[in-house]
Amino acid sequence: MADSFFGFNTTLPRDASPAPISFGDSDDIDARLEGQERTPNPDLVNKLDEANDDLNDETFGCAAEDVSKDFDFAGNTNSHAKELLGAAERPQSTLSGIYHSRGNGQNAYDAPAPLANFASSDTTARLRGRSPLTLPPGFDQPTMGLRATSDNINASGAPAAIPKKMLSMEEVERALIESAKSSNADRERQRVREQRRVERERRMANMARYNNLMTRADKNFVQRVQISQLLTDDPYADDFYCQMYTVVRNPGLSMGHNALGEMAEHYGGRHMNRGGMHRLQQQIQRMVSDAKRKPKGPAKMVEGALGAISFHSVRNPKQAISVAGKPVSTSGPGAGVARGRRESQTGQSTSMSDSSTQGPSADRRQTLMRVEQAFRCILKLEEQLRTKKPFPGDVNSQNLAPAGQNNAAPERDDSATGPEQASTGNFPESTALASETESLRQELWDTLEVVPPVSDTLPHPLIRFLSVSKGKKLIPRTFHYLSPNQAMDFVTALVANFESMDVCRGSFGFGLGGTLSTTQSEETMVFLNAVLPPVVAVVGDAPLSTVNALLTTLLLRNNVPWIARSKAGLALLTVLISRGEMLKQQSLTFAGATVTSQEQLVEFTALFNQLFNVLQSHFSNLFPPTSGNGASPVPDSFGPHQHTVPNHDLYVWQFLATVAVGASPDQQHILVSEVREKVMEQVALASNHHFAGPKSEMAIANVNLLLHALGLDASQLLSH
Amino acid sequence: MADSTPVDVPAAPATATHSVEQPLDLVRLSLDENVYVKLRGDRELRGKLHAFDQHLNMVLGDVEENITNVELHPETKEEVVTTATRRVDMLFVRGDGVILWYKPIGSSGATVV
Amino acid sequence: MADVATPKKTPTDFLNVILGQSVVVKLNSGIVYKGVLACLDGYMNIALEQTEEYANGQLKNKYGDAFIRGNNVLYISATE
Repeated sequence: MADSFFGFNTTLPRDASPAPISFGDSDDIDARLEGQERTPNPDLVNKLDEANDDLNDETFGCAAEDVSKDFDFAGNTNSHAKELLGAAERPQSTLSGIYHSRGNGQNAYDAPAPLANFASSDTTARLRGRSPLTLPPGFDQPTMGLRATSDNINASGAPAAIPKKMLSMEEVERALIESAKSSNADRERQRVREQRRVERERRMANMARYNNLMTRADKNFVQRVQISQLLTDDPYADDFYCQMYTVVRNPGLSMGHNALGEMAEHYGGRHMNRGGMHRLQQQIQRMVSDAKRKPKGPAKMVEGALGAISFHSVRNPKQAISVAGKPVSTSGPGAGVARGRRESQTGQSTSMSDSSTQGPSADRRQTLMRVEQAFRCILKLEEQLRTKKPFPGDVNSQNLAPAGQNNAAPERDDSATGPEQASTGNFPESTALASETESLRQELWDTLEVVPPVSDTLPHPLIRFLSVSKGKKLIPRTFHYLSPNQAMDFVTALVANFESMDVCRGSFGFGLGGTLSTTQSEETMVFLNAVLPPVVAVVGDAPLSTVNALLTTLLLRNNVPWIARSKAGLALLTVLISRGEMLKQQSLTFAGATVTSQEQLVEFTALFNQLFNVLQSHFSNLFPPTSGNGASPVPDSFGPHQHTVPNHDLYVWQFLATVAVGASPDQQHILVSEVREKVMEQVALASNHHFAGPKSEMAIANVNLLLHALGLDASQLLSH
Repeated sequence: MADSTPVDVPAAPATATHSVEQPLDLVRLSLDENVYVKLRGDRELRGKLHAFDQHLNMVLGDVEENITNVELHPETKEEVVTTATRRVDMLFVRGDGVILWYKPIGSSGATVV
Repeated sequence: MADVATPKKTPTDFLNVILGQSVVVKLNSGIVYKGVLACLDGYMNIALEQTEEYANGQLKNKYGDAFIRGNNVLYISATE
């Protein structure tokens, strides 16, 4: 692409040397000039004003006489306008800028002016170079620019001659051509050629002055600016150069749309035809898209002693070495250290025997990997739910709300999609989706490693899964994808191995320091908020036989006092007992109408008694420490301390109330005697105004939970 | 570019990462866990890892930042080590400042019974 | 990317061999880490187990798992 891509001569006329830089359309103009030169109008020649021609030699580098006087279609031509008109009498619409500007100083700056400034600046320069020859009266100095000329015109007030009618360039040409048919052209042509050659040489020399003025980068920059114009829909209106040039050249002149349109027409038609422009645009777009595509290819690679080393770029970040994609699975020298950490999906955890992953940290890592795997499954399943609305029928989806409508959904879909979609078209898709869903669910289930509920390795894989906070948090979402049987298996495994849960370990803290570590209380909170609710949902629907089975498992496989000391464990016990109590009450109320058999009731009572016996002598120890100990005041402002946690021992009172409801009179007596001190302490503290108002009420309410279950009330104690 | 913004990694299903072990997979395992991060400029962070991306840009929650400053005493020429600590609720860590990321031994506390 | 099949030994081959072995990783800052190489990737991000941190030859710290961002790595070498 040339420096001046558009063919614009960006040199201002006043800066232009007599031999201006050539550009794309100069030949075109030259051809016109040639035509004019060949056709001198004898009349016009005779009337030329030859004054002030002394400097022609210097100006043109050749004999002044040789310079065709017929070039004079500038200033002096004005005086001969009538002859020209006579030669080419024709109404005209468009005005060639130069002619026009000379002929009519003020109007020269009407709309076509910028066009002329750009399009014909070559001509302008030539004319200006000759302007000393043809200055009309009132111009005492050679003017070096149109603007200066126009100023002079304005200053002089009265231009020598103002043609009434104005001619276009074409008309002038035609007139000249017609009038010169018979002239002796040969000599003229030779002279003209010689002159043009000289002129070109001068131009070249002139241009050479600017060699190396711009660096390559400068040129590229300018080129980019220019190319960018081609990518716009309206390159002329968006052309910064054009706009600025026009504004600079014609201050105060409003840039009418007309001017731009005419300029566009001018260049579109003459300098570069529409097809060429279009091709160019395509080319540019291809270049741009190529440039965009390029960095995505492979980076430069060097094979050497160090192997393949690649260089990086912004888009291709440094990859220092090429590591095989699957270092774990590559056979060969590394096979001995290859580790299969995922091999335990079948439920049998064999990784503990793996040489390089032994130890607690490796075990924990494996647990974390399982959690991540479960996360992936759930995310995929949830994505399926979101994106594929007609959830396909699924054998395992009994616990899902939309399960009942699923079978009908795909068929409705078929009819809706129209005849081109055959009825078989959608069905394989939905079955594929269903099988994918099913495999994801299976994977999720396998990842939990719920079965078998009793594991050889301790802790149980499920407990390990739940030992991670995010594992706990995942449980509510997991339960969406478990069948009822699976959910029950989950609860069974949890109950069977509950003593290994991290949330039970906090009970140590009660005995020693009195407070839970923040992580312990956090984990407990997560358990109560995430794991327990699904368990409650399962147990809440369970028949008494199931409750009995769970209680049996709990008593058989756990250290129950240990469990009961933790908030989470006590909550679990409360859930189980209260469900059993409820079913017991129901069967007593609606005898015969329930599925609960007498044997189950007996069994439940026996289990309850067993539980009571196990917990006997521990009831008072269930309370978290420092709960009501007003004698050892602790700074109230400090957060973690149990003392200031509102209603921190409510769960214990709830549990005691649940036990009291199911307890026999003897058991109630034992219970009361064990916790009497605690009850009295609470009541005394409340009545002593040791607690502030709401706290006092809370303490009484807690105590009443138990007392009401026993048929008592705190007010009775107060009155004594 | 899209990859310059940290994405919530758990929400972006990884492409079969469970079969291939990559170092970043190990970082993934510590999502929602407490981690320690050594940064350039003798800075160290401890906080819960909420999100990360392949540049190791990270979002940490409940962060404690320790800045260690070692200066030579102008007269005795002895090293004077000062540490400054500050807490930030939520922190975005730009990956290129990260040198090392680790979990202290026994920090998990959930593996032993 | 790298064709493991070539008889020529490449860094990749070396790295595959030392996976799971004790390694020494030196960082640009001069700090040295010793540990079991759990895995690494093409950016030289490194996961180490049983990591020990040495500065000026002195043991400074012990970590369980450590992840070293690849841009800091000067070299990885096998020990023993």
